[in-house]
Amino acid sequence: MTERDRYGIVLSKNVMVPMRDGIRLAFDVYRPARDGDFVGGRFPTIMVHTPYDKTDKRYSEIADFFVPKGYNTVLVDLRDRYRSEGSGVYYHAATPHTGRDGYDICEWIAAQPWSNGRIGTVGSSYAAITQVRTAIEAPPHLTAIWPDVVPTNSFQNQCREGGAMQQHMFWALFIHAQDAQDIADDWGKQQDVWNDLRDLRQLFRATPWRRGQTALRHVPTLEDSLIDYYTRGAYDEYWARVEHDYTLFWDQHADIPVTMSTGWYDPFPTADTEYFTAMTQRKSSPMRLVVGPWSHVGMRGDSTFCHQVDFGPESVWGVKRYFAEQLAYFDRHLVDDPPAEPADEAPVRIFVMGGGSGRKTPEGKLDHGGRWREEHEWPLARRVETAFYLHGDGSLSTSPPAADAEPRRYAFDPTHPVPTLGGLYCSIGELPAEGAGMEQAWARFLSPVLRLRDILTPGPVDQKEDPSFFGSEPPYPRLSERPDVLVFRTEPLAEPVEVTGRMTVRLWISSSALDTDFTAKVIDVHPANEDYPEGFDMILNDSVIRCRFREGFEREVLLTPGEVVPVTIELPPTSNLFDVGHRIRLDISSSNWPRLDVNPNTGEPMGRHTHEVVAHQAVFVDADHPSHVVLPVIPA
Amino acid sequence: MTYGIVAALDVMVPMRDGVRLAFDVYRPGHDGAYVEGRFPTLMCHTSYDKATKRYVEIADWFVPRGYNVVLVDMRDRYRSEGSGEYYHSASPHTGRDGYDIVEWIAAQPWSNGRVGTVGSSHAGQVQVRTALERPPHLSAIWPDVVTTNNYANCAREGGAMQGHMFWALLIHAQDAQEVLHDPTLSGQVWDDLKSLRQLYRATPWQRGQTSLRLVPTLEDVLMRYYTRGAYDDWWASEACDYTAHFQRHVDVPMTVSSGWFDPWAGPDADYWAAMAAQNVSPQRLVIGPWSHVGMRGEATSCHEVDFGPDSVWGVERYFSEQLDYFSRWLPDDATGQPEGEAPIRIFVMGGGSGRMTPDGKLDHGGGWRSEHEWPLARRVETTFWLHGDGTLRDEPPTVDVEPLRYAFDPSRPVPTIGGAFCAIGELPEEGAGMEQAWARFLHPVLRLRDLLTPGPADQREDPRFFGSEPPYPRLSERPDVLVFRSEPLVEPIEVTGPSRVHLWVSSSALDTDFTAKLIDAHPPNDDYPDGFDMLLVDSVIRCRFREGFDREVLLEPGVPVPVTISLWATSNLFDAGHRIRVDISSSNWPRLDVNPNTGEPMGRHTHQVVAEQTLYVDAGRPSHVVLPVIPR
Repeated sequence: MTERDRYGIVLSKNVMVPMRDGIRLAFDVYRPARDGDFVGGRFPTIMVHTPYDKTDKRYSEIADFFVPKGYNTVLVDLRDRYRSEGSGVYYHAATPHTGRDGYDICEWIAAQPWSNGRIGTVGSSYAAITQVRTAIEAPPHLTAIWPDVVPTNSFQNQCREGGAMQQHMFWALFIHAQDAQDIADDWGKQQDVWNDLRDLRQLFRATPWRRGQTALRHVPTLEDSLIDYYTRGAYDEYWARVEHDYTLFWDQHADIPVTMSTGWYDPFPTADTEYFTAMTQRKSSPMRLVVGPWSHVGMRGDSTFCHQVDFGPESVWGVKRYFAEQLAYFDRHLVDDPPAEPADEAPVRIFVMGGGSGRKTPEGKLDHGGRWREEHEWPLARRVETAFYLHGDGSLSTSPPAADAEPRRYAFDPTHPVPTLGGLYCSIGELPAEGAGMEQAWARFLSPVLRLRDILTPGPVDQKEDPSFFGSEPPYPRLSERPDVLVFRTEPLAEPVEVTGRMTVRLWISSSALDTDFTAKVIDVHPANEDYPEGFDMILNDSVIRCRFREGFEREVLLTPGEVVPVTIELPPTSNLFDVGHRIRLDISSSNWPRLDVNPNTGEPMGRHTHEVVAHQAVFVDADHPSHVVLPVIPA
Repeated sequence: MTYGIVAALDVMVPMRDGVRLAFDVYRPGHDGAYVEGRFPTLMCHTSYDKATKRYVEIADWFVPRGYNVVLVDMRDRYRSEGSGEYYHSASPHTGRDGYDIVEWIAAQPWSNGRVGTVGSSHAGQVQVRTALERPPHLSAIWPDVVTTNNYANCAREGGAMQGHMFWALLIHAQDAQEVLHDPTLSGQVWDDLKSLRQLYRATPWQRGQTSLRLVPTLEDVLMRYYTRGAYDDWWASEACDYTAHFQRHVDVPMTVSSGWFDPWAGPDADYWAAMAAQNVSPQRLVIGPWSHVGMRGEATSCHEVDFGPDSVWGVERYFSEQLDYFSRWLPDDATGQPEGEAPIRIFVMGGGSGRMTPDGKLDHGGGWRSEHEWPLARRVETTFWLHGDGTLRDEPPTVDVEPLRYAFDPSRPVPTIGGAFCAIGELPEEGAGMEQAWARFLHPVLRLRDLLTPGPADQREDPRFFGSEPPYPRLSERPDVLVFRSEPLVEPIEVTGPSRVHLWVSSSALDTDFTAKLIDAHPPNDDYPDGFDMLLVDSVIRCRFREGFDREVLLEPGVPVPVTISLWATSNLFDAGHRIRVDISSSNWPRLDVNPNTGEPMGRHTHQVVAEQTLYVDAGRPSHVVLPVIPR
């Protein structure tokens, strides 16, 4: 309770409101109250539109926070989900009605006698997707939005990336299947979904995925989405639809204040920083961007660390700060007598990682440190795009390579891919085997979703295989020891180097295969100390190019075996201070599984390969083929 | 007419002493607004967070059907204000608060003046406590799985402490207001729940030893549960022993429900009998083959045994029955008791094939039966005698039979293998990470896994069961368990009701325990080559209380004395070919605390010793069991 908490809460549950096509969605309407009855008068409204069950605590706690402070809160189950009616068109990320429904929800709220006509939206991930989709429909009463950790282009940054499939979406489809309306009354089919989540490790290996193979067969729209995500490798009319690529529709986006928040280890820092830039360029309303050292849900966590790395107490927001920031923000834009706009607020807040001791914290995390910094634009205007060249001796430097340097070669065996060790993705969780019984009557209250345990945790990790990580295999080498990973390192730095922004890797390659992948990973190499005798190879980000898309994602151009071609890998943004004594490292390889699907190297239609072959790769590092990475260096 | 739901959350209502309790008031709505008019009200008053789904679903079910539903956080719990007096089951204000809640509801313009109550376990206890205060507008109640006497059947039993209450106090500590908003404090309680196995062995429990130190009222309660061995003034208070105050109980319609593997089937049946005797209003009793929360489960099985599809209620049936029941008493057009309805429904277990079901359970079977009184008037109290050759027969022993002897080593107690207790769950070690921001939504209570599962189980040690040790014998093979079996039955025998076990014993110890178990011994078949020794009921007598629970009389070593063990009610058909079996021993841990055999003050022993036990089975000292046999 705070001084702002002036009101009680009255909740109207499952008010069924028709959308323009007559389908009724279920609204939980929370309104300010006194003595158990509605308070007369018009209040601003916070709206959340979600596929994840509006009665869940993560949503009802929004009402618990805002309503006592004089806001209505309206929580809506997405069409075809939970208590809302459906039309059998829930396609996960590819659901068609979401934006129009958002418009209708907004305008229904504005027409109510308890609404002051100003509506703000909140929510993370899918509940942020619904915000952007709604903003693209530009409902007149949508006033300010705060989409947290939102993708903007399924093809580029959610379902696929660099021509490969992001396999967190394979997992996500099961999460959306287990509570699909299609099987809500069929316990056996639900169990089939849960059994697949128990066998998740096997399913990740059982590619190529086919119709009928998994429990997604019980929810045909979601099986359709899997096959689309998996087999539509080129950017086609499917990926260009509004439900997938919002960036094509920015001109229609409402000109209203937006705060975008994300984390450097969220899958969507590329999406959200570019969203900020696009809105700043096209709109007059104030835009804001917050990027912390967080993973997909880290902004609302209370820990100072993400996976294996600690960023210090300042890095923590937690749900309290998250709500307090949202309240201050919506107070500016939604209440009848808003507080004055802060005069000199910087629109961008980023957490610059690095500067810590490099030792182990009492919790066993790497003390990498870092601090918040305000900025006025994105990307940073003062950055110096600096090319670092890959050299035949494994060095990485700003001096161009020698004329006669031999290419570096390795064999990429798709049956032994490089395992994913941290990075930017939504976590992937399996259902553990049943332990000793929980009485079934209690089990009703425990959604198995909450029993999921990560088999892949996002975030920064030492690049060393480990039995605790799915995909790692004995003898658990450091990735730098693998023959299929090319490592390029700078000398230990004499001065710290800050890198903030997106990076581009340009490679000249050849392959024995008709199609294959090249991956790039940027690593902050901490020097060895007593806590970390082998140092700590901290992943910052990584990405991929599937070679058949090297000339553009709209068309497939297979390789000619042995022919040298340039390829480009676009890396997500980060912000990191490579400290004195550290090395900047770039790893080049051809797989990162199961974050990305493994290229079978056959050039067959995507997701429909019949066999796999080893690809013999060459990366050229001579003066005529100067492979390099361009880093946005920030002058000290 | 189906209504929508409008809920006023956390309405703060002052009790008579000014402390305000948090009410969630769910009322019929239409188009998001309240429907005018007066409706009947169901009330649920709970210590377990009124905002959890198991309570909210009551509103989701009843409000559309024309009821108000009022959910109230108990004093000192969750959103309610407190006065620092949350003593678990023994909290002093519960009944008076219940009275004030009922009367506040009745005074609201949306109430038709009739209030019913629902809830299980602690939310059943508050109903009885409220009924003892006789609020004028309390109109009908349905306490489910409710204790009636903390000393006799919840915290203690036969002079011993019931181990489930040690666990329950930790469950009430993890969300106590003292620790609720401090993760480092509540984390200490969760750490104890992770090391529960060690804590159960770390007796005698002391103040400051466990995280209960963070919640002083609950640590006080533990010390009382654990060290107050005799029935004293504290145990006689209305906060602990409702049966001593039944004469104050309001005369309203009641349904009481329980399960044969719930700790309170017998007490709830006795509660029904007391109310049926003293009240004019119709009283009803339902007992199924369920454990503590089994009535709302969908399974046909309880622990290792299947009772068939008829045995299932599940939450839909539970709510439908409640709606049908309250519609007799609460709406303005209530019709009252239907003609000719039998007041009692019990599930008589047994009669199944004895084979293994596809789910891997013993098919024991059974069926529902209506009755008109409790205990059954037609029962024949039948004596079965314990014989020196291990037989159980309806003929008394001869004069010169040697007694049976065994050594009871308190450091190697007989492990609990099923039975009637609430539950004891440990928190598993963290697996691979769950991100902390998600973990906020996973209440650790929901991650608890049974350390001990209640219900019927084959009486054999097993690595899956806490307390079992290699070589995992059948309990009948243990040297400290005396087994008495009938011949395979030629005709089925139904036993329905409570039983008593009368033993003549002596011991080398100044104080020790004797336990008795009633077992339906299924014959071997292909699925169960060793047979299946299905536990029905068990209990204990701590010998210092053999002359009454209000005084301690130590044994004289070696001197034979009679002791009586009261077994709670069951209802079972011992089928043809089965054997009736009675096991006598001296421990059942951790369901019951282990007697250290020293005669020291309860819960404050300094050491433990092996007790050399003697059970007499001769004509002069005839040990026997009296079973309520139902003529067929």
